[in-house]
Amino acid sequence: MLSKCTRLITLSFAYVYLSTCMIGDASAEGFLNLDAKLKYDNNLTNAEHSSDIVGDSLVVAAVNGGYYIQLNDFDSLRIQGELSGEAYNTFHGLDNVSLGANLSLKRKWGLGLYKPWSALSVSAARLDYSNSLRDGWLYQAQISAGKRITERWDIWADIALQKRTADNAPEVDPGVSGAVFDLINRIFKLDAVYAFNDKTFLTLGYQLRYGDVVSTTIHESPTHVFDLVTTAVALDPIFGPEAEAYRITGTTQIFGARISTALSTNSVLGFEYQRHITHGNGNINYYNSTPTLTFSYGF
Amino acid sequence: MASQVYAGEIRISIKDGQGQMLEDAVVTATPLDSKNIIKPKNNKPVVDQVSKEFLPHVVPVYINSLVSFPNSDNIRHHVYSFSPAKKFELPLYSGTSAAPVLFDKPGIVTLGCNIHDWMLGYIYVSETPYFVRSEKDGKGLIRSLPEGEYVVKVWHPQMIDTEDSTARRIAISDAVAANLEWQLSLKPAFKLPRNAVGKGFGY
Ligand SMILES: [Cu+2]
Repeated sequence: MLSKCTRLITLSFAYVYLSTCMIGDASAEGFLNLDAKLKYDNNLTNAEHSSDIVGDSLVVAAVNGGYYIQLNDFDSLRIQGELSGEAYNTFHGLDNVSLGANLSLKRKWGLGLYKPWSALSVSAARLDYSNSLRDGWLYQAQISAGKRITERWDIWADIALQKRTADNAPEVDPGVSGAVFDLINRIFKLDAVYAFNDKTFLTLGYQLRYGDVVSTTIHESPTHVFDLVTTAVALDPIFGPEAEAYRITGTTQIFGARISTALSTNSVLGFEYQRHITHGNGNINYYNSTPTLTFSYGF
Repeated sequence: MASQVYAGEIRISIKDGQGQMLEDAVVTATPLDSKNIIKPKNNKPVVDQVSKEFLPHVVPVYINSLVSFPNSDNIRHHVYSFSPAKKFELPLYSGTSAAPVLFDKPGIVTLGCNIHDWMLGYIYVSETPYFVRSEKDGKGLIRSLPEGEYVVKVWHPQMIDTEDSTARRIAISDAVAANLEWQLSLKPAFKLPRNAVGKGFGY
């Protein structure tokens, strides 16, 4: 774990160094943010039956930084790198570090506060878990558009294609893929922020995901429902000796609300609640609730 | 012209609805006799941009002034106004490269920056050369007023009542300085956030 961390930190420094050389322009503006989260997920296994459901709390620490470049009057480019780590209270096999990069091109369509904007972005991240089943890469391409509606309401939407690849695909059942964490998802997101004043904000979010989801059973399923609809299976020892992770096709809806308040000009404290509702093939349904305390600091 | 006396002055003191000293109020003194309007010399008003804010937040200027908009930040700004008193745009620039802008109509000009949506500033284009902006302590001094009668008014970006409702008529002579105080009811201040606070969810 420690050597992986060192490797990732070295990589991130190399990244920052390279991007500095690449730009070398006075109009590039650097940014650096720290994020810390305390989160609880009441259904880590994404399980349907209560005997398979386990919850855990985790801490997340992340640093992201990069450059913001105003290319002309209306177009801007953002190059960002992020190093993030998650540590679980009980299920240490899920502890992970990730290192990613994001490139985003944004256009504002005109002059003034209420003109719409659109953006194109691509990102890639390396995922490195304590247990190697979930190791892999995460790629995303996204189109976004938004508009300030009133002085206090700001809204935007995103359409994204997300692909995750798994390094390891040990076959459990002969003839059935073991690549449980090879996932593709189509994502639609809608977000709105309301400003109560210049310091306190309410963010409302909706997300619809269609694609691959992973559900883990801790005990052998008596109904064998997964055998009919699963597209990949792997042993998932993080959750027990008999635990198996199944990849199925499903739709997830996520409803989220966050209240955040600026503690200073540099720091923001927030509380966020998300409800995930997933309907998978074979009538496999599961639910997650994730309350999260967030703290962000911008340099 | 030579008979005019320049000794008069008005000390102003502005408070908000709670009695706190109020910055960024503009007090104007308009002589009833237009002969008492003397064009100011060395009139070079400046609206600076520092740390992605307009500085000062409120700048009173005499009508037909050329106002310069230097950019003291090391990034570029894109300054604009949609106000009827002056519509203009200074496309992306740094340093002092933007040409000064002529303000030839009286009224309030609201300033914005197209890169930094939270940047907000005001230019008060005055028909009288006698004005002052209140400092942090709510105070200000209008000097060198020719003797005569004046109408004195106050404006502030958040004020609820009209500027006209604050009007007072006073006579200025060289003997004493006039002391004028106002208490203004204000709308709550609202400013767009500087950071992308609450931008999206991290899934
Ligand atoms: Cu700006």
